Amino acid sequence: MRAKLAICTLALSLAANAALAQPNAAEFARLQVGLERLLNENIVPFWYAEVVDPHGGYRLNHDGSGQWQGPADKALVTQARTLWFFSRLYNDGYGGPAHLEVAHHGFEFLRERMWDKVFGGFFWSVDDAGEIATRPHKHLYAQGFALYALAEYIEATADSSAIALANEFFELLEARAHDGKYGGYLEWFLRDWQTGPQTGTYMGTPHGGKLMNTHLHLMEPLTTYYQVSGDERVRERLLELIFVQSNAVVRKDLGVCTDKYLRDWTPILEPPHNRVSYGHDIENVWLLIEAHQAAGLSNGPMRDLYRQLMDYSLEYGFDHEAGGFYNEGEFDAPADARQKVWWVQAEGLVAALVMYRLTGELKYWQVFVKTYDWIAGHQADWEHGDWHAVVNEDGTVGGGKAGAWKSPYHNGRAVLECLHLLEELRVEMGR
Amino acid sequence: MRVVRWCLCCALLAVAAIAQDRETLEDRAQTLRNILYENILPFWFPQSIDRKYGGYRLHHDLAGQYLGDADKYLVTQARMVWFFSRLYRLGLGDDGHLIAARHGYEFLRDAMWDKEHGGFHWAVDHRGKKATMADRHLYGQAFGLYALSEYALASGDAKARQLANAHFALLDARAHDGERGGYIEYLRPDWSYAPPDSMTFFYTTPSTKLMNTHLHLMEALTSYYRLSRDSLARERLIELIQIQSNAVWRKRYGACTDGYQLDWTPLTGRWYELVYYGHDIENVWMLIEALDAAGLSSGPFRDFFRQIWDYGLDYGYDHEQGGFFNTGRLGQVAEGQTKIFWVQGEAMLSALYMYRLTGEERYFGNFSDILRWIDQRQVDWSDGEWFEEIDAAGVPKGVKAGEWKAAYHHGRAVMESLVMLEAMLQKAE
Repeated sequence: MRAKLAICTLALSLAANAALAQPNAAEFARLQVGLERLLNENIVPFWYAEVVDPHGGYRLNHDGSGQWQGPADKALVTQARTLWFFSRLYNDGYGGPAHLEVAHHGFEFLRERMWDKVFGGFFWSVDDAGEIATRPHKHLYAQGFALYALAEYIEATADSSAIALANEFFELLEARAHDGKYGGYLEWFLRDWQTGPQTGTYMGTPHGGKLMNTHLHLMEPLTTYYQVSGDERVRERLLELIFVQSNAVVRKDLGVCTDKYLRDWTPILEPPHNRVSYGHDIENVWLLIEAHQAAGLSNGPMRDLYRQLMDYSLEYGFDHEAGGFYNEGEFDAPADARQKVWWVQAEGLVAALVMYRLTGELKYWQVFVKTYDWIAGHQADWEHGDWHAVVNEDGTVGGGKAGAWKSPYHNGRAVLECLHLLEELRVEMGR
Repeated sequence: MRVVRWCLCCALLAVAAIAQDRETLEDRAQTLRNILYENILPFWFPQSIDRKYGGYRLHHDLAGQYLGDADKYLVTQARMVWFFSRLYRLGLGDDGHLIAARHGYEFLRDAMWDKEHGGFHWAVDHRGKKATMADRHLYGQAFGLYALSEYALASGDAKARQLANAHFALLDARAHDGERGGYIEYLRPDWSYAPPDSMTFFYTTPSTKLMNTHLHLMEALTSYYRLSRDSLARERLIELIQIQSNAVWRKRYGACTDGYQLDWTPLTGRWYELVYYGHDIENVWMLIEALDAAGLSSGPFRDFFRQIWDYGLDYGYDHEQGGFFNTGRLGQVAEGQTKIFWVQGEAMLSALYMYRLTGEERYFGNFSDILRWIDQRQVDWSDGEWFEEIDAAGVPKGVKAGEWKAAYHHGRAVMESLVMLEAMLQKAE
């Protein structure tokens, strides 16, 4: 038995060496150049400075060919995401003072027009002028993005009014939304933070219940907010969200995540909730890895979970011929919703590269490359800029370029993260 | 704010838990008192105290007959210190038991602690004069720390606290695996790495990580953190919570297995694709306790706890007579029907924890059924103590005391269950 183990260990170390030896300098260069081209020639030029609204905030109402469709409500989710993107672009050195100015423009709109000065927190949406709250109630999914944006903006500017607002906001979430009894957050509130009504929750949150999706996007901002604040109470919440995202939302005998829960984290699995969203599972993998790093925790104990979630999606949800990830499927069955959605490709791209870096396994590098090739060849719209929201199985494209859900956050972040990771790998591998 | 919430939380749990009527609770409590005071305690106290050489004499056959001098093992010496300390601290014992704890603590400190390199020897001769097995296995070290922590809490002894602090610092410096999480389990007496092809006391290679070892490290860190309130100890406890609630869970089965590579890749093959129901169920209550000590919500883990219990009930539970069998292959029913004493003790306690956490009646049913099995079959009402094993034919086997068997598993299960029931009875008033 010991001999067998020794052989096993030897094989593993050989595999690791082989994997590390594999991606050659030319391949590295191709990907780095390609990602920079996506960023500088496809993504940034679409958003900058097209979406800057002289009346405040960002105008995000563009069809599939990138044409602005006229004034529309401004939704917190994408106002915050766009603010996040310009801040991060600046922080990563790919943007300059002009991009920071655009971030500042978005921050002022968030603070002046979307923050509820009476009850605190941010409105779900306001009219295009930012004068009327068209959907005034509070959903934690969108609140999460507001905190994410504030944290990244603070990293860029150290702006004292942003720091004060973020502190006040975190305290408010603590007092009104954190669930001290079962962990995680209550998600759905009226404008005045009283419990929200049974229907119309904006996000399909079960009454009094919880979503994986919401908690994923609470772990994400708390990761960044802990990094900029160093506040130990923030770390405590981050730890709890790590437990939620690595345990509560994973089906124990399937090794996949599901979305809907009662308040005490009992899963709701009645159809149509017995499905897997590959994008959320693999996004969860790399956001968990980042959250662990930010909190100073070892990712070692979670490797088996990360492998399981990735490998499940690779088995059932990956297009091994053309590259890229499908959208959804039943448990233990190949994807039945096979369109390729932009954000799933973006999150898959990062997750594959993060997993390669964590494990040294070549197969994750190959998934990264294949996903990149799919994106560069099919998801990116080189004619009108940015990425197609959806590419159907027959190759037709659909969806708008900018709106209540689409902004430069998923795809812009993916490219920035991967450029950063490639640089780190290059240094680690002595290239 | 947190304090207020926590109290509210306790109150809500208590409301769920008093669903049992007083008569039922009192009946179970009385059974536990009988077992503690008429079966377990009289066996160990005072006869296990070695007045001549120090420490405890733990070498008794199935009938409870002392078989003469034998090596003294860290695992069971420490477990006895823990048992007497806990008995005293819970208010279930008296000053005599604290003296018995001190007697064992002094042997740990003077005869088993390595004054040159630090840490405890695995085994010493019966006189406590020389180490007969000196290598450091973290499983044994964990019990050393567990005993020191509980003894320091029970006695308020500052020296014991200092030794616990020194032991924790040593384990952290020499055995903690900062990169991959968890601990390097097997080291030489001077804390250098053991040769890669050497065999540990658990018949594994030194580069193997075991769920079993890390379970008992989590247990020890829970106690040590309650003693020290040291922030580094809390960090290590959090890491062990992650190991025990995630790394050791086989993702497609919803059960735990024992063996892992250093980076927590599960070991496969015949030896390792086994589920030990006792470890899985014990893991549940220890995780609840670890989370409580660290001030973390157990809410995100409820589904995990339910899953582990459901798996055990589906594959390893004796639905006719109560109690758990020992082991089975992943996704298959138990192999063999032997019932081991510690598995029954840990399962009984775990069922009561689950009842208190969820308020679900079914767990109180499991608690009652396992207690009935224990009272009627596992307990040796004629010669004292519990039978180590009851085989499929109902025949008792094993020993009463030795290098692995002491008063800890089942003594703890009975004490902790009794205290929990008494708290429920008080709330019911």
